Formats: sequence, structure tokens, C-alpha cells
Amino acid sequence: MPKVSAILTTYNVDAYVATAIQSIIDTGFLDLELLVVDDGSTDFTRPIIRQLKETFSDRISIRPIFFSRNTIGGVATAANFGLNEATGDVVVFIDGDDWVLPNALKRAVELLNESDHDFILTDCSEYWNGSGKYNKYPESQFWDQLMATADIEERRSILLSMAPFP
Amino acid sequence: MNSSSYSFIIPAFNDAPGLARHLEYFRRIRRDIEIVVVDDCSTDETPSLIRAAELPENVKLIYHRMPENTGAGAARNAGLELASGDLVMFLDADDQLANCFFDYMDLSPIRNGADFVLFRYHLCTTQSEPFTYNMHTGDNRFFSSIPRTSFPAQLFTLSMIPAAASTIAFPWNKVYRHDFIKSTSLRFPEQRMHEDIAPHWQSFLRSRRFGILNWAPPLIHHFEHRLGARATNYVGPERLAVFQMLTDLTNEVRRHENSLRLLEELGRFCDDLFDWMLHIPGIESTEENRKWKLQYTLHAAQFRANIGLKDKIENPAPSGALN
Repeated sequence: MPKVSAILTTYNVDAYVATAIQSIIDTGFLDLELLVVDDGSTDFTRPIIRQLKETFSDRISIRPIFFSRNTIGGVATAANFGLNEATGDVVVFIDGDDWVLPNALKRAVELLNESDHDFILTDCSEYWNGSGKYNKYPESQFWDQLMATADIEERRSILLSMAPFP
Repeated sequence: MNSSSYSFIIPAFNDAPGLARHLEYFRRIRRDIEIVVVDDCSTDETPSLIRAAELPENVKLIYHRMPENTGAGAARNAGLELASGDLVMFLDADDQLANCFFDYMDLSPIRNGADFVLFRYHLCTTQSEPFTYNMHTGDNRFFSSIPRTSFPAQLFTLSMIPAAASTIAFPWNKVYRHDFIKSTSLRFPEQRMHEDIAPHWQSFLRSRRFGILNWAPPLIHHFEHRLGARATNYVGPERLAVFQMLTDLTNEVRRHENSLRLLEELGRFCDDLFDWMLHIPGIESTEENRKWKLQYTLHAAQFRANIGLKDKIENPAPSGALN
């Protein structure tokens, strides 16, 4: 398996950041570098990140990068900073209030590793705090179109119509 | 700092593979652990599995075989009599603790003033997908609707967060301080159906302060099998015991300082329960089952009328509370 750099960008997400971190750990990547770039959080996000770095210090490399104050560039600045620091063969971006499905991410990295592709795109669900329910992300028609074609230009044009998530 | 000892009470009936997974898990844990397996008269290889178990010195295994098969409630109570740890958790034989369980339990307020802590679970259907990061919808909603993050060790009272009591009544999503269980005489009703409901509610009703690990990831993998559930789909007379248990529980709720609000929650909880009972798979399938469905419907209506009627006499409930 390749070395994986997971870049987690956080800003005032104390209710979610531990879940985000644990979901990445649960992938079981043998060579994992977890970069947590915090864009000036003022809630418990940083204490949680510091605590988990210590808790998992004997098992997982968690590297906190704390900006001194919130940046105008927001997630983009944090993600770019993480990218500059990343030393892995494979890079994955995760937002601090999201979580990954560990088995699915692991499979995606395996597929990427077995292929000569430049990147792998994954689907996502949208979780609603108020209802406790998930929505299929409202782009499922694009996914159907992607599956229906193997032509790179067609796929490129469909991908460019989709929401630009990191 | 990690000097607390844990007792894990596991009622077991014909689930040697599940017990083997638990033993394998605890074999790796470098902590003071006591496993209390209460064998509810298994007819599989459970006794030989236990006899052959090789565990490190820090893991103590207690095996107790019930004289007759009496269900998980009685088995958990028997386990409580044998447990000696500072902290107690009930585990089902077919569930699995998450690898990160102790990491997050160390960060919980269980040693800092909480009588017990409630945590998230992975709701799973197959062993091959243990990390779902998903619970039942109502539990999802409860955990993600708590207005503030309880890190590092915020404590709650039931009056602060009454909806906690109407989360699904699972026995295995909490770790208790043993002295809380002792001092409040927390026990499971020794009936085969719905034996989890009363201790779940009583945990909240009798607690002065509890923790909710809403900031932490799920700490247990809970497996629900769509088909082949044992007691879950039972239709028959034993289920009727739930109505007397709910009546007793209602009386305990009435004695709580925040009883009006909690009766609302209990009403909602019972509505969901009754709705589920009347839609048990197969409940329409035979003449006999349809007879029991009618019985359940009548008892549910009677229960609703009783708690509603008493409300009007003693202290009027907010309108719509029990509808």
C-alpha cells in the first residue's frame, strides 16, 4: 500500500473533528500521515486535536498545523498548506465536519494504487443534524451519466458540471 | 490515571463465535478487565470455548451458567452479582467494542462526576462493514442536536436534556460507575421482552449527572440482522408484560422534578414502541397472531388512557403531550 496523506481542514468543528479523525484512522492505512490544518478555531477543536495527537501518539502520526488566526482564504488556504506539507504518495482531503466511510476510502485508495489513474472521485451523502437523516447528494444524475460512458472527454465534461468539492 | 477496572457483563445464548470475538478483543487490552459471561443455557460449544480460553493475567474471566434459560435480563442481573469492577458495561454476545473504545472512555467524565456515560454506536448489518458511522435515525438526531460540545467533560442532568431518555433503550451504549448501579438498585426486569426499557429510563431518572460523548466517534459495533432475529419478532403473551412495566415506569417518571416534560418524552417513546409492536413482521400472518395484535392494541390504548387520565387529575399535561 502507498503512503497516504490525509489532509483534514478544520475551523470551529469541535462536535465533529474527533469523528473525522477516527474515521480516517479506521481505514487501517498502514502508512498514514494525518495532517490537521486548523484555520484559527476558537472552540474546543484545538484541544480535541491536541488530545487525540497524544492519545494516538504510539499508533498514528497526527500532525496538527494551527494557523494563528482565521485566514481570508479559509479552507483553500488550509488545504494548500496541508498539500505543501504532505509527503504521501496519495493525498485525500477531508473537511473537519465530515467523516469518511473507512472501508470505502480504503477500497478507493487500493483501486487508485492498482491503476495508472491520476485520481479517484467518490460519491457522498449529505447528513442533516436536525433530522438525523441522510440525503443522496443531489448530483446522482451525474453519477449515472459518468457510469454510462468510458470516454475521457465526456467524463471530464460531466465532472466539471459537478459541485467542486476538494 | 487508568486505574479503574472494568467489568463487562455478557449474557450469552448459543453465540460461541461472538464470545470468541470478545475474548480475542480483550486479549489485546492492557488494562484491568473482568469479563463476566452469563451463559443462558447455551447448547452450542460455549462452555468448551470458555474452558479453553487463554487470557493474559490482566483479564479475568468469570463464567456463570444459569440453571435454566430465563432471558438476557435475568442473565445481566446474575452478572451484576458477580461483577467487581469499578466500571460496568453490558455487552451483547454478538456486538463488538470499537478498537478506540478505551481511548475515548479515558477522555470521558466517567471518573469525573458522571454516574454513567452514553456514547454513539456503529449500526451494522454485516461483519464485513463494521464502520458505518450511522445509528438509528432518532439516535442520530439526538446526538447531533445537542447544542454544545461536551468535550472535555461536560456533565448533564436529565432536566437539561430530557430527550436523552427517549433514545433507543439499549443496554450496551453506556458505561456505568458500579457504585451508581449499587446505590440505585438498577436491575433488569426478568422478562423476555423489552427488558432493556426500564433500566435505560431508570439510568437517567436516578442519575444526578451523566456524560454524553456527542463529540466522540462511535465506540461499539452493534449488529442487527434483518432476518432470524430471536426474541425481536416474537408475537404472543410474553410481550404483554411490557404494559405493566411501562405503568411502573410512568409512576417513577411522575416522581421526577421535571415530570411533565419527561412524560412527554415517555409518551413519544411509547408511541414509537407501540407502533413498532403493531407492525412486527408476521403479526398479520396467522389467526393467532392477529388475536395478539388486537390484544396489544387494546392494552396500548388502555395504557395511553391511563396515563392521560391521571395527568388530567393530578397535573395537567401540555396539550398534545401524549398524543
